[in-house]
Parts: sequence; structure tokens; C-alpha cells
Amino acid sequence: MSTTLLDRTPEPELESTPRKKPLLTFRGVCWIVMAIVVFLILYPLVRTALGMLGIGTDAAQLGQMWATFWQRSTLTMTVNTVLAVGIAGIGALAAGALFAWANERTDARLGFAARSLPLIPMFIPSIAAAVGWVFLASSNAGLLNVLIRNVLGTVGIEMTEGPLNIHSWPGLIFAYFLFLTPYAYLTISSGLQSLDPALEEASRSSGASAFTTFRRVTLPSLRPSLAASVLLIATMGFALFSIPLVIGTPAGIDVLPVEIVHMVAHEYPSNKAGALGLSIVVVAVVILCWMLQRRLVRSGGHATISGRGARSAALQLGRWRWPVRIAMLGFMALTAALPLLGLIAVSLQSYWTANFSFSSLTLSNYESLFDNELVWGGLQNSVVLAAIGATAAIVAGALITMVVESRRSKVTQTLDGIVKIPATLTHIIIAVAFVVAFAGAPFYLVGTYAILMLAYVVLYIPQATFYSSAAYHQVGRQLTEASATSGAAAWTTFRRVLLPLMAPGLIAGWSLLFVLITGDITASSMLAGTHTPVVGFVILDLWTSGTYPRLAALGVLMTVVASIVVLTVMWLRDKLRLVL
Amino acid sequence: MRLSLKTCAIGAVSALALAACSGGEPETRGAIPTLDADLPASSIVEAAQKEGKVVWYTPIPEFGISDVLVGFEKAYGIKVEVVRFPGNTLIQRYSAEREAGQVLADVMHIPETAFFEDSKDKGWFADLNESEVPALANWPQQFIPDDHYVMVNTQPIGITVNTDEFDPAEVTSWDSLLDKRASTRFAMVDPTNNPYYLAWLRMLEEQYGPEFLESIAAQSPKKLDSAVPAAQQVAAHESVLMAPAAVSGSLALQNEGAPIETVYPEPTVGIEGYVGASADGPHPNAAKLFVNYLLTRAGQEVLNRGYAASPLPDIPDSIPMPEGYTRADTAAAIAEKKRLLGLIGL
Repeated sequence: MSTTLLDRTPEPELESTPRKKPLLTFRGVCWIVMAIVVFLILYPLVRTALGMLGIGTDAAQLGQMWATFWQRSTLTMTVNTVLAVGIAGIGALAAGALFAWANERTDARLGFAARSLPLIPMFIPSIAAAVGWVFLASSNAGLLNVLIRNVLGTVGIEMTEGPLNIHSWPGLIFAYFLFLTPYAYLTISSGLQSLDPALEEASRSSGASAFTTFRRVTLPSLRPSLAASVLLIATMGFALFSIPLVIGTPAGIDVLPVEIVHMVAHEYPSNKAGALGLSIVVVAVVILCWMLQRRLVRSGGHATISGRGARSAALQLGRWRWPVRIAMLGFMALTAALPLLGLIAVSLQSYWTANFSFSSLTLSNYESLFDNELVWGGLQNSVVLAAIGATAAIVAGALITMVVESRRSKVTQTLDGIVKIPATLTHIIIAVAFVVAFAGAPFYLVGTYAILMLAYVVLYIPQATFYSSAAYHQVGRQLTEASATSGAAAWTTFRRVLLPLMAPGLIAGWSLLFVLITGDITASSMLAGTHTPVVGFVILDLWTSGTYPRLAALGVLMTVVASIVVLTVMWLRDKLRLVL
Repeated sequence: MRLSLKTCAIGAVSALALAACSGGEPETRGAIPTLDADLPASSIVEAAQKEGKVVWYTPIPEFGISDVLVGFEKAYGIKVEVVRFPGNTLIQRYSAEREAGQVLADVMHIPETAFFEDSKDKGWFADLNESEVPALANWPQQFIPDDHYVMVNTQPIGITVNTDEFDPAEVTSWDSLLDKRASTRFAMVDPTNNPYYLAWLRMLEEQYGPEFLESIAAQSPKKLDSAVPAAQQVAAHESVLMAPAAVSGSLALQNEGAPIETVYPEPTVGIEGYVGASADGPHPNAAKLFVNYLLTRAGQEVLNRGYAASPLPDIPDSIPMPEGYTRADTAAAIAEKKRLLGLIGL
């Protein structure tokens, strides 16, 4: 549905001094940022594609790409990936929606702590969380298993292995579910915070129960957030490499992202053609989800902020209050507390062993981290790069959203699609493309922080635009039109109407991007180095050639740093909301 | 709430900052031997010392690095900068840098030959001659495949066992892989990680027939991405043995007191390390001098200390070179990769 903004009536000429035309309008800045981002996305990919096709063996490379695509094993891996992401994703969507609704709308809300705790799983780098679960739930030496077996032993049930086995289908789906739920939670709770509660109150005063209201009024109104959730779950799930690497591969469950990374980074000669063949599948799936999202958003029919800004009273859940709270606390224990405990336990051992004894605990793993220049430099670099990169990405994302949403034409829709491309290709391919395009002539960015920063912005621009787009849609057109009718220029409308209302969503996006960039592994392994170490590079180094206890210690350290940052941001966000 | 959060944050950051102070001398695992007295000096020592630095791309385990660094600096006063990654990542990185017109590595050290062979036409690596690299004169000819790269060592491949489950003395042949105690508790390092793991599979097939590999598949081995996680599984008793295993994967754990040991049934192959000096790298003379150092008896001692075998005889602290060792035919192994992987069920 297209609406036109009313034009400003021209002012009559007043004085002889002509009014100075600003050199750069707000719209102009938005378009320039859009152009830069599109260049950063398309240029490396086009150069890589040309390089693949243009050198002497182009027919063979092309042949290999399609041969890999049509291979039997590609089908198996696709099925595995779809199953893992699909089943876990459904669970994640349900859990994320339930928890978001419980915290935003009902008296089961557990306060500031509860809103930030479900985000903690993102503070632990996914590779460290996966390793934490391996320590807990490996069928023989897993600490949790040993504990359960000891307990069962006291009541006479003897088991030599298990009962939990993380290296299995249920284990893998469980790990995916834990990883994906926070993404669903974040998008849906952002949407709920900006939603007009009047409809829900009307439903309740008409006699509908809490859950009926949730099901028939809240959920349908949340369509943009839910659609964004589905798309985010699909792209994060299909690109997830560290969890299936650590948990799936020993179980014999092969998924597409692990094979893609393996083909590019671990095979020689590097099988970039095969990796691209597998990427075609990933791209196809994500495009499907993207089309679904656009259809859901375009059809309208979702509630928007109507300018009243009232907060609803918390819904009384009655006898469901504590079961919901326990479910939330249980989830937080599973995602955050347990793997962290597993990591802490192993980080204090000199080598991973199920024979946990308090007398042999040691801090030497932490000491070796602090003594290690690479680790220390990596931590500092990651924090700085992540702060700058997240800010750049969110600002660019917001400006891009202004371009795309202000006028829906074929051009803006195409550009919107281009901006989403980095989400469909795995990070390793973007990183390789970046090396080919920016490392040498004419940019010479190899081994610099600049190439890392650009890569991070490009990699996470799609997430940044998801958040700003969802935040923008919740605001709706009426307010922007009202502002324009009152005579405000685009920049003033953005600054004084859109930005404050989009702020909660944008801040949520910033903290997510910060955590993602600090936890990034695949791009960091290709573009970082001993001159420019970042945490992802260091963690991968420890995984391939260090010991689990040191990896665990670094994981614990990362969690502490990231938690401090994100908790600070969430606290700030709360303060901003109170002022509004 | 406000105050405590801020104080917490400041406290935590300062604690981390304070703890970060050190740097300092790298620790060595043993004495650094002096350079071989009987070797003629290289013709490029002065030029190399003027360059002052050499950048070494290497996949060797972390514990093995500092001895080499300290040794080289003691011998020539030239600092070594290390870039440590798994071999395939190094190749990826070097190739991408070359394709982008950059040369950042002086010495390339990787566990394979195909890369050096493929890059011969491109002239990426310098030819090594005896006036610049005098240690070549004493180097066994069979370990010099071509003018531009040399095999510096080999890590024999064996089986790493959990000593609470297996007495190392009872593991005398590859048949131990089929022991029923290892069923579903067999940690297998991904054979596609390097060509020598594939050569190991080929050797097993040649010695014992394809049924042997199929019997390994029947043990339901757990595929691990690399050697160190596999070794840790064995140390934790999550798995009881691991293969193909070079001792470098488990040496650190052993030193911590983990119940883990590596044995070498015969016949076996090894993970061979090859080095080449970049032809037009940032420090070309230092590069060749470093290669020379690695080929001296002193260099071999620090390079192989505790975990690898030297082509030179009687190097102290090194793993004994397996009887009748010859360089593995990795090209043939790679060509049969699919078939071999199919036989072991991966």
C-alpha cells in the first residue's frame, strides 16, 4: 500500500538574503551510505566470481561447483541441516515468543534481570558453549552424566554410560534450540515493547483469557516481528558452524556450513567451487524465507504505535504464573548457567577428566591466558572493533531502512535484497572474497584492522537492517506523515520522531551485533592474524592446538567481558525508555 | 543498583588490566645447543642479519615453537615472527596473499608437498643452493624432493591410548584398533586434515587388505576435527584410543599427568614437514638462513624436541625414525581419497 507524503508548501520570499541550501540533505546521506554498503557487498563477490570463472580452469571449476551441488551427500547434508534448524527453530520460536510475552505483558515478569538473562547465551561464544555442553553431557566423561550416574547409583540403578549423550540427534537439536531461542526472543520482545496494548486490553475486558488474548490478538499483531524472527532463525541456523562442528561431527551428523568451511579452509587444493555449490542450497532456503517475510509484512494488518504510548497493566496469570516463571528460569539455567558451570569446572582442571576432584583445581589456565600476548591483544581488539563495528552497522542499517522504506520502488527493493546477501553466504566465503578483493591492489588492506572492520560491517548489515526494519514497521506511517505535514524536513522527522521510537529496537540490535562480532569465528580465522588478533581467531587456535581447559578459561573470560558490556547497554536502554 | 553495577564494571576491567602486565622471555623446554661447528658458514649471514627479522608460517604445536625462536636468535641475532595455523589454513592464507599481490611470509612450513609442487611454475619459492644453505650438503638426498623445498622432519603416526584402559606394552600392532574395548570409543582424527593421514589409511589397506578398513568402520569411530580434541577425549576416558595419532597432539596432556601415551606399531608413515623460502618475500636472505638453521643438527634438536623424528641420525630428545622410512606417496593417497574414506565409513 503506497501513500504519498504531503509536500511542504513553499515559504514566501522574505528577505533579500537567499536561504542557504544545505550541501547534503539527510536523504542524500542515506543514499551515499547505501551506495557504500552495496559496493562493499557486491565488489568482493563479483571479483571472486570473476576469479573463479575467469582463470584457465573456469570450465572445470564451474563443473565442480555443479557436480558438488548434485551430489548425493549434498542432499543428505541439506536434509540434516533443514531438520536440525527446522525442529530446533520451531521450538525456539515457541519458547522465544512465550518468554517475550511473559516478560512484556504478564505478571510473570522477573524484572530487569529476566530481560537480560535470556540474552546471556549470546554472551558465551557459541563454540565455547558447545564445548561446555560436551564437558557436561559426553556419554562417558560428561560431568553431568557422572553426577546423574552417581545419584542413580545410590538408589540402586547402575549405568556405565549416559544417560545423556550430546553427540546425537537429540543433543544436536537441543544445542541448536538453545542457540536460536534468544534470536527469536529478541525480535519478538522488541516488537511487543512497541505494540499498542489497547487491543489486548479490549480483548481481556471482553472476557478472553490471558492465553486466548495472546493467541488471537497479540500474536497476529506481531506478524512483522515473527516474520523477522523466522528469517533470522533460518539464516543464523543455516550459517551456524561452531555447534555442529563440535557436537554434530563426532556424532556423524554432517551439515552444510561445516562442510562448506571444511572445503574452503581444510581441503587442499581449497575447494572453493564445491563450497559455492553447497552455498547455492543455503541461498535458496534463505531466499524462500525472505519472500515469506516480505509477504507477511506487506499485507499490513498489524497494529502500529498510534501515538498514545500508554503501557498496559501486567496481565494476571493466576495459577500459571509460577509454572511460566519456572520454565523461564529453567531455560536460563540450561542455556547460561549449566554450560558456564561446565566451562568453569574444566577451566580449573589441568586436563579434562570426569574424575573431578577439588584438590587438583588450578588457576594455571587463566594465568597462561593472561601471560599470552595473543589472547590479551585479541580480547582488547575484539572489544574495540566490536563497539565501532556494531555502531557503524546499526547506523548504516537505520539509514538504509530510511531509503528502502521511504519509497518502495523496484530500485529500493533490489537494494534491500542486495543488503541481505551477506546473510545468505557463509562468513567464510565473504572472508575469502574480502581477501581477494581488498587485500591487494588497489586497496592493500591485508593484515589491517580496516579489512576486519569492513568485513564485520558487511557480515552483520543484514541483522542490522532486520532490526531497524522491524523497529521502523512498528512505528508505522502515521507518525512520519504527521511530522511531515507539520513542516518537518526528513532529517528532523528522523531525529525527533523515528529515532526515539525505534531506539529500543536499535539498541537491542546494537548489543546483539556487539556480541556477534566479538564471538565471530569464521571471518576472523581468515582475516585476523598475529598482527591483528581477535578473539575468534584465538579461540579457533585453542580448539585446534590448545587444550580444553584453556579454551574453557577463555570462554569464561569472554562471557564475563561480554556480559558486562551488554548488561550496561540494557541498563542504559531502560533508562532511555523511562525518559521517553 | 546503579552504583554497584558501575563499581562492578570498573573493578572487573581494572582487575583484567592489572593482570595483563606480562610479556617477557619465552621459556624453553631444554638447553639450546650451539650451532654445528663443522658446517661452513652461509654466504648470506650478513645480508640476513641486516634484514633483522624472519616471518615463519608454521603449523607445529605451540610448545615446540619457543625453542626454535630462541635458538635461531642465539645463533644469528635475528628475530623470528611466528604465524601459527593448521597447515591447510596456512596454504589458504599464503595463496590468497599471493593472489592479491602480497608476500608476507618468508618461510612456509607445511605438512605436504602438493602445494610446493603446484607453485613451482609460479616461482613463489626460491631455489636453495649449498652456498647459501650449507646444511643441505649433509641432508639425505631422498628428503630433498626438489630445488625449492626440503623435508625437515616427520612425526611418526601411531595410536594414542588411555593408559587406564590399555597397557601401552600390549599395543604392538595395528590390530589393537579392532580391539572390542575400542568399539564406539574410538576417536578418529579426520583423515582429510592432511595427506599423511590418507597415506596412513593407504598403508593399512596395503598391509592388511580393504577388510581391515571395513573392520575399523565397524568400530563406529567418532570423527574429530583435529588431533588435540581427539587426544583430550582419550585423556578424559570418553574414548579409549585415538588414531591416526602423532604424539604432538597429546604431549601437553601427558606432561600434565593425564593417563595417555602414544605407541608406534610398524609399519607406519609420518606427518612430514616441508619448508620453502619465499622467492621475493620481505626478508629473503633471513628466510634462507632460517631454512639452513632448521637443517643443522642444532636446529633439528630444537625443532624436534620430544615429538618428531629427524632425517639426521642421533638427534637427542627426538622420536626415533621408523625403520626403513621413506617419503609417503601422498599424490597416490589423495587420488584414492574417496575410496579410502568410503571403506572406513566416513
